[in-house]
Amino acid sequence: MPTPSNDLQTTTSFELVLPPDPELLRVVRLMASGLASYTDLGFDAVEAVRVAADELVSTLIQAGNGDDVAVRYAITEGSLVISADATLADADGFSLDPLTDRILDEVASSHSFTIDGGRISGRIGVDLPAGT
Amino acid sequence: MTQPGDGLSIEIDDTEAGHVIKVGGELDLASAPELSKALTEPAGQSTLPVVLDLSGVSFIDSSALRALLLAGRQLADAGRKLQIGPRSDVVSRVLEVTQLDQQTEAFQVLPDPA
Repeated sequence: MPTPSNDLQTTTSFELVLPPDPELLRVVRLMASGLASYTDLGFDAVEAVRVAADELVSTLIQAGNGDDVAVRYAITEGSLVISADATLADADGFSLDPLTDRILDEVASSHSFTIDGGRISGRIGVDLPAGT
Repeated sequence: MTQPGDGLSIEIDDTEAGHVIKVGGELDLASAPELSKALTEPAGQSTLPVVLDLSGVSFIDSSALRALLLAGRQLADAGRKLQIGPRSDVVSRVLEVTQLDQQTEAFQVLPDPA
């Protein structure tokens, strides 16, 4: 039987593909805080990851055309990264909400949204304490 | 009290101080419409303020903030004021981060007694 381990120094990642149902944001947040709790982030920082994941996926749900949203969670060297993408409803109509931008500025170390070929992709990064 | 899903609870109490709406649970894209409905359908023709008690809110995101801003403007158009009263640390932090605790005319953030 495998032994559970908190050793996430090597890259760990998983993907969640979900219908764009706002009720499922709770699952998105749960996955984010669950993964973050395996790092050396403190309580407030884990809460910040939860907020960042929610803002990222909420943005894509609202900008998307109703197709599934793919969310990827990864711990790489020194950072926790959550990225997501969806098909845009209106390729010319997307602009990041200023409130979302302000919140992500505060809770994430980095964030970006890009539009390419009718797809919207978003990415947030959270720096991890040394040794994580 | 309404409980759409497991994420939100809303209690409404008309007092001499105003139309008090006590919200508990998580405020996000899923629950923001229910919050909007509660805020913009206050009973009666009172001009007393609508006072939000957010002390039981465990999560709030920009979707809920947008709902608060919109409701506040609608209430102002109807001659009523939206006030944010008691609130959890989570709510206080998001209001501070977005500077809505000092920069909006849509609602008034009351001093937190906590």
